[in-house]
Amino acid sequence: MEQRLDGHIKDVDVAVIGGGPAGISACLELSKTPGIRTALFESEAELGGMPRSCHLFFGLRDMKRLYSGPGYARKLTRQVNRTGVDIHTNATAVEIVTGQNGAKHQVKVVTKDGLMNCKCRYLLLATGCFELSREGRRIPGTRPAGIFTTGSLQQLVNLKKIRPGNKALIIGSEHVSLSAALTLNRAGMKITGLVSEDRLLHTYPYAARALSIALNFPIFSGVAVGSIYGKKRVEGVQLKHKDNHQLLEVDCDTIVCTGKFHPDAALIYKTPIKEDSDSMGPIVDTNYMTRSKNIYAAGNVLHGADMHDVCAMEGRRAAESILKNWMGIYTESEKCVAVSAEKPLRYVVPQTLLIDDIRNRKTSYWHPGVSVQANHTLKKVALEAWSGSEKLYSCKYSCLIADSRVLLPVEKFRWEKVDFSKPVIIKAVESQSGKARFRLRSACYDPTSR
Amino acid sequence: MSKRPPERETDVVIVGAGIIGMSLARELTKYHVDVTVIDKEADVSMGISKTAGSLVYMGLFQALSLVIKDLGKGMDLEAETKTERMKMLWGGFREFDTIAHSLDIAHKHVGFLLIARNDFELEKIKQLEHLAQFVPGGTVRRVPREELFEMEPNITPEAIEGLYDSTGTISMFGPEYVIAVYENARENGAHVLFNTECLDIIEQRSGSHIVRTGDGTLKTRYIINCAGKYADKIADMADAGTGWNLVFYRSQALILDKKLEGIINNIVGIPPDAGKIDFIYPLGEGNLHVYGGYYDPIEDREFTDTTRDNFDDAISRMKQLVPCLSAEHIITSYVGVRTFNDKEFEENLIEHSPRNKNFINVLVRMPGFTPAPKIAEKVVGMLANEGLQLQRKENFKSSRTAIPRFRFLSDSERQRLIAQDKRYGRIICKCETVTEGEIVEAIRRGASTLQGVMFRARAGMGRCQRNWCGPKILEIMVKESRKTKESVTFKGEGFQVVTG
Repeated sequence: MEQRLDGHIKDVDVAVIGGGPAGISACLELSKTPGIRTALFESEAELGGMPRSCHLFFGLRDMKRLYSGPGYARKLTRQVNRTGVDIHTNATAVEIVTGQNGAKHQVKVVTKDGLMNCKCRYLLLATGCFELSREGRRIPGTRPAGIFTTGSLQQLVNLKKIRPGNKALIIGSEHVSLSAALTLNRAGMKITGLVSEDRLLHTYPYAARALSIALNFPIFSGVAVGSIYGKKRVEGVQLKHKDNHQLLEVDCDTIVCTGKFHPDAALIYKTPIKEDSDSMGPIVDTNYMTRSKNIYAAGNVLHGADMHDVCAMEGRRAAESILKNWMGIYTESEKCVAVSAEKPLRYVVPQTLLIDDIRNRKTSYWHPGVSVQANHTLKKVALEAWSGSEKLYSCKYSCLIADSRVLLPVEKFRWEKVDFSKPVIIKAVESQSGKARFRLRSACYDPTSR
Repeated sequence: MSKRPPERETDVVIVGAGIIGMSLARELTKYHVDVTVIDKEADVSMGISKTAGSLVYMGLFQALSLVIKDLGKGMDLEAETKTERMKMLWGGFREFDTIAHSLDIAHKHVGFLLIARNDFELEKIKQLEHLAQFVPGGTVRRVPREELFEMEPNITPEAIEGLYDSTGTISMFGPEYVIAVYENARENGAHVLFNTECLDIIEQRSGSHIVRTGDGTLKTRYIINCAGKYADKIADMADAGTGWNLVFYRSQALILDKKLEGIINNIVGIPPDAGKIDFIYPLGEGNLHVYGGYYDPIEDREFTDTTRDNFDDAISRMKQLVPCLSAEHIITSYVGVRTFNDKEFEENLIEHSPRNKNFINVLVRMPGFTPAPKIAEKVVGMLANEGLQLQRKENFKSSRTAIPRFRFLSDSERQRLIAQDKRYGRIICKCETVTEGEIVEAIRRGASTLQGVMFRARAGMGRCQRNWCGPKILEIMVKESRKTKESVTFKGEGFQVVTG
């Protein structure tokens, strides 16, 4: 094959970046329509994304049955391998050049066979998310070896079969923290504790407690990580009770920083694709299109992190939108309104609501939709949507668990009252009166891993 | 039976593989001299050179540096600009471009903008302007308020006036500089022994020395003490002190995400308080480097822990300077320890041992990167005076090429590289766009630790801090250096990444 100096040029209808649940599911959906040329780029040697290195409870919502993480990844990979999608693994997208005035977009991809310049009419970003490092969390102390995130821990233990240490402390109390505990247990490591900065865990307290009993580790809640010590390898961590400032020392040679996901949206920096300062991913509308025409985004690049199956369904939804657009059914001049969240809520995704579109959808556990995440676990709160001084929606919750998605049934908002010139603000307010209930539909126990 | 420790003979032993030690080693390799550098760490640039601000500077920044060092002591700063030290700084500064060019060190000339937010700071700026005219290398002028925001739109709106030096500062990456000098020195025949701690120095009747290390002994005539933070300990071993002690100051720096590239384009700062420093500068890779906060005297020279107070202080000061920056942008933080001698606080101390002139202490007051080549020349001259035969090598190789930096290559260069070696087509570190080829090359050139790979190839220095690429780099290191995974360390023995 002739090698050009500026790289091999490829021309497709849709380029998908990221071969995890969202990217593959989008490809599967796209491949149902004959004639559409799709290319998928994955930087790892194999498809499947994060589930490859996780363990239990995968596939509930999108496949309607349970798989293990690797099993789920294999299933998706088998399915997409049977389609006509042009799949490239070990292929890392390094730059997006957005096409101006209807010109095609371009993705620069690095592969072992050289550079590839992929021109595409539609682009789907499905690059996922990453956990904040110890450094990014600003945990003070020495800077020894032995500090990981769940992602690097699971890569080591589950993919490379390496045991990183002997005694580990888990920092963070999100769902993924429990996943880290399972991984540590699988690696044969002792867990010396799980640390939650908030008094209320960012996961289901019963699940956390059950696991702490089963794997025999204490849960320290309401404590801040004072400092890490150990000059060379981690030797321990000093914890500080937030209320009484009591100090506590935990002995460990490994630290796993879990949760605090950030979208891996580096590809959109320095492009016209707009970033949401709340979610730190691209801004999308309810069709999963970003502010740049024909560039879509789905999965955890929008909201680090949500469950894999939600990501998969978002991928599908984005693919449906791309198909509609491709077939010319898409109408551009839809009425839309921006939506944003106020503290203690972290973000709302999607950030732009297309009114005609959402009125036809029904929000449920089984479908992806507009969702918010809270920074802290909140008890007895009401989620309210406000447009100026008009209340569009309110719903009470006995408990909103932090860092996990809470669906907003936007079709139920009183849209007749909305002022389209202002963003709709979603607030979480204290709600003492009235019958609050644990809302199974939106904040229900969801045993899946991330 | 234990193996008899190896014994080597060499002309000059340099203790410490930082910028001073390595520059001296490189200078000596220009002659037919057998030079051996020993360092207790696993790599070069593991002490002060690692954490010193990566700037080569004269002009306004040098003037500021004098003021910071004054620490309210009321020194005669003007006299300070006429010292021998200043001459060496100026010489080194002028030579840096040539060195950077021949050793292929990435560097960038950046402007330095000091801002005043009130009359008090304005007064300080005037003093600095006055002082700066005695320091060569700068092109200093006052900047009125309107122009200030044209230059740097993101600085604090409280700024009323600025002082700008357009020529006095060069930004580079310190460890990269040391590594470049090391590679070149080694190519020219210098021996560099890592993990080799100097344990004792025994003086012989002939005036020669025996250096006992953790890994065998060295017989040498000359010893140069470039041990930085540990210069006092080495001097004590040879009883070579002249009544000085080392004093240490620590400050915590922050590195911000490179997505902020362009937020500021010059080094920006406010005139320093005694004991406090505030400036932010753009690094070559696009990250911002924040030096904000304490300049604390410490007893324990190894106290490099980051602290909550230092974080809070640095963050609040960074926001005072550039309000759009936030704690969320921090990708990492570290503490640097600056070392001074208490005898000549404001001077370099480059002196023979009072007992034996073949032993030379080299204590450099910061900055060290700027004067390093001149200090090396001076020490070589001192050695010559003590009888070291300096016969020039005809085949001295003055140049070295850097590892290709995939991220900054053009498409055609990238394509050519991948065609030569497929490993340049596999991206390992996504945050910093580093390929397997670059990592392999770094290991081939002597990176024996994870940090060695980071400093040579930049892998793992991005926003995810090795959490995505760490396991992959580990795998490559195991394969390339034929180590077991349990023996791969972060920065030397004991820093095992995985214990198995």
